[in-house]
Amino acid sequence: MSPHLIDPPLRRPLKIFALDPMRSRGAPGGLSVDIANEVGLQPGPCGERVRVVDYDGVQKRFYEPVDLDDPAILMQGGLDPTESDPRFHQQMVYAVTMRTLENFDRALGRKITFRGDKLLLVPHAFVGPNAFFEPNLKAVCFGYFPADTERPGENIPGQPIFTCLSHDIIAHEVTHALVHRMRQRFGERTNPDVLAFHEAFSDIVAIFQHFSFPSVLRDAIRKSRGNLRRRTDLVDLAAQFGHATGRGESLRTAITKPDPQLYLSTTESHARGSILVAAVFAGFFAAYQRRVEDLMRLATGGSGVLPRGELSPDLVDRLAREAAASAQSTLTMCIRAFEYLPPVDVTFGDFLRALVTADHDLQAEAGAVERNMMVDAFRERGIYATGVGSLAEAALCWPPAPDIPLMPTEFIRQQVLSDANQLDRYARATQGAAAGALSGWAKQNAEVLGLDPTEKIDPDGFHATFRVAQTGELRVEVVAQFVQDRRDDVPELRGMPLRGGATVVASADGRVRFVIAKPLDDRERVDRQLGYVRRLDAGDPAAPWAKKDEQPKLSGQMLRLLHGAARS
Amino acid sequence: MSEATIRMYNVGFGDCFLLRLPAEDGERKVHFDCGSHSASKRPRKMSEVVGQIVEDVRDADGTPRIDVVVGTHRHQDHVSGFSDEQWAEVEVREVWMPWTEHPTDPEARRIREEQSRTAHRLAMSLQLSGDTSGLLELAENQLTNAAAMETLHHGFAGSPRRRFLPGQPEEGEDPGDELADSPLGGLGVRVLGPGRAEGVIRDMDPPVGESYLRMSGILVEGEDALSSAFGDEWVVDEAEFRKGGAFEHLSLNGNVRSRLAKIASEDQLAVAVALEKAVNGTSLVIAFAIGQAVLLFPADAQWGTWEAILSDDETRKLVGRTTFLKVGHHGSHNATPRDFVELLAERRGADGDGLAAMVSTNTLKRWPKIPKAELLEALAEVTPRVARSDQGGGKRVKGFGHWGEDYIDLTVPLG
Repeated sequence: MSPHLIDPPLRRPLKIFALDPMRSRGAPGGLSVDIANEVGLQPGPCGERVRVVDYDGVQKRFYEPVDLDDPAILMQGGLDPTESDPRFHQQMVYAVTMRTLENFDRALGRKITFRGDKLLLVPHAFVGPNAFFEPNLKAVCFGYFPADTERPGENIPGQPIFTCLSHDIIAHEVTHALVHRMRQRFGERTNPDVLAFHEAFSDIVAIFQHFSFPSVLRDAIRKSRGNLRRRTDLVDLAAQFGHATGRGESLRTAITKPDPQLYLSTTESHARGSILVAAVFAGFFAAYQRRVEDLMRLATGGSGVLPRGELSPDLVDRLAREAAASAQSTLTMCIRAFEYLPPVDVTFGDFLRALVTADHDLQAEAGAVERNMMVDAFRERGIYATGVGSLAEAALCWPPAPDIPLMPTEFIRQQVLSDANQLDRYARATQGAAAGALSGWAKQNAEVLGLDPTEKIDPDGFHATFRVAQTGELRVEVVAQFVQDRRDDVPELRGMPLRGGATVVASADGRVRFVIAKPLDDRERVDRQLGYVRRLDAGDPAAPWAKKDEQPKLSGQMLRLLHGAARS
Repeated sequence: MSEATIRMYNVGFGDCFLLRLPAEDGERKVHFDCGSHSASKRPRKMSEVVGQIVEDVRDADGTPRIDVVVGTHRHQDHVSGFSDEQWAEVEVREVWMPWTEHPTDPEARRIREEQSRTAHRLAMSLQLSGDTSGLLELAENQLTNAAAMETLHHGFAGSPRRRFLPGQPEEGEDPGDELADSPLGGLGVRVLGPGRAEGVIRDMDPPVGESYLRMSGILVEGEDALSSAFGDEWVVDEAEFRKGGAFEHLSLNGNVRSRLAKIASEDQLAVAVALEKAVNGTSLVIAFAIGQAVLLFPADAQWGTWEAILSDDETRKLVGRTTFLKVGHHGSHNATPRDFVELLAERRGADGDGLAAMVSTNTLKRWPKIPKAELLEALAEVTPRVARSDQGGGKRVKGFGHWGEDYIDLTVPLG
């Protein structure tokens, strides 16, 4: 053994299908993606945050797990894409999951974990064209199914289709797990936007990740001649799944015509979520176009009109780079907005305000034009912020907090001094002195925080964020979520409490900057929620057929993800 | 003051109502539905009930006659009795069905085909998986009930005219006029549903459709069902995934396994209830507004139809004045909106005994929530004049005549 140690590499290359097996046919080698190298990765793969267990729920048996540290696999940068080797399936699920987690880590400035557990990923869990995240088990289960026998699209009739080989389905489901990790009450249907937001966010992450695969991006730019609004692999979701289920097209797309009526009339979560996806994508597209204006003029002798025929490969490369950068910044902006979302009862309007606030806070000037474009794209789709009289940025940003005594933030020091990788351990809301100090503080200041002093206040999560502002300064902030429950005697709630709460954003010294509240005593909001729950209840087809003492929770229908989509 | 009479036949879990309305030239007989769920208890055979109906409608000249037979929707518990041969003797002037029964209307055909294909696949998959949870009975309610539907579409004596309601009025035509030339013209008859609005039609589509049935191995025989993701050569002995095994770190707890094992039956349940709701959503809703009286027969209408009725000022006022209510869907959870009951309650003060209601129902062990106790309690708050078909021999209440195990009679003042 040489005494001269070689540092373990930071990154690990792995291969995946270029989006899915059907679309990958033009790129037989698949895509090579690199993810953080987890030292000590066990067969499965089983790492620090995720665990892939290839248990076939139909036959009740386990398939051989892949050992990604096997030299034969390491030397070729991961197994080559194939549908016939379960070990490749496991590798792809792992690679796409890690890629998705890294996107969140980077945007949030902290490593997101699953509160002491590993996220369980089961690539061949059941037969059926579906995949779902199960919050109680912290598990993502993927189904497999035979392609439609009459309308298989570009697949062979009856051919097995694996949802775990679709980049989009993996990214979508893992994002559900992450959203649930950050805002667990967003799984409760308190208004028509909540589950739609869950869906939309998962689609947004899946779609914007397409832009991080250079070969997919270049190919789409070449084919669409730089017009990213053309229907290409970039903007379509789950193409093989859509075709194999007889739909004749991809499952969903980011491109839809703006129509403010849709937001008023669409209730199904996936369809409603698509409106938000389209708004974010339109905002991104406007920003991208602005970014490449000069490039297009340069490439066309000032006319901006592209000549016939193939684009120059140099231009394709440059456009791809700009598109990738715009996409990454849009995705980062969306994920960052999370810190500014209320803990319960979210609406698309809240998300718009959070987007604007988060970005304004970090890059007030540099991002102004892009933000405006985003606001416009939302407006064109009928998404406004409630209670905001104007679309001016100052009005859209959450209002600055009133004077509130300093929030206790000692826990930041602990977090900074501890292993950076372990930061999240301190987010365990119910534990530790910090939680006690925070809830005591919240109780004392309940009224300004929009909380009800007569009800119990639970700190539902708190953490520090570390971000670099436009000026280059490191900005350390604290985000804490407080949640309150009240059990009202409303049968339609079926035992689910009414919830209120507030997200508080403070600077490192405890000065409160924003209070984003959904007060429990906001009678109008509560009435709106009850009205909505009553409608759900009235339309619940399962209710009459329930067994004795069975109270199926309305929220229990959440997150069987592709089911709803199969309707449209 | 003239009166209408309503006879509710006890058919167990099902509907069967005979309405007699006074008219200038005698009376009109309207018969709503004749069906019973296969899972239900019945005090007597369906053929005996039909036999009684035939006698009940027999005119002085010896011929049984009904002016209008209404087949509200094609569920077994509403139409099964029409398969009985005794109906061939009954002279019927018109048969009314929802527009979704129209033989050639493309949208109607699409909805029917979608519903019956889903029903067949569901029933087959339940038979294949040897269902014991009672879902099969629920599924059977949806099957086409071919013989009964044949009677409604082509049977009865007297070559009745068929109407599919509401029709699509020509331009400039008042939709209220479509029944002016029917035997019930001039009797204030109104068709309140099913509409053709998007929300109503969405309610009629089995929302999960056929693709749903491909899930979870609900595959029908003859299709290439996948039995496993990979061949035996990839399987590793389970012992390796337990404590002490090579892949101990990949062990799976029982919660995950049992969750996965339940997926197939959950999907079947979801399809069954969604389909039941979809077919109920085609229910033909009829009201008679005669003087101050409003007689409402909402069949098994679901939220989509009710929402359309309650969100229109004129129809909302109309149903708010209801003096007789056939309680929807055997008193179940989602066929009588709370909003509607509150509307009825508002009137209570002004006219204490202005409402009578009939619930044709039968509590089955497997569906203990039908009828819904809270709904019956809320109705009881509005009026003491509520009769349940399965509680014959009850206490005599104003307006009710014969109150037996076999049928219950009610007289409703008109004008």
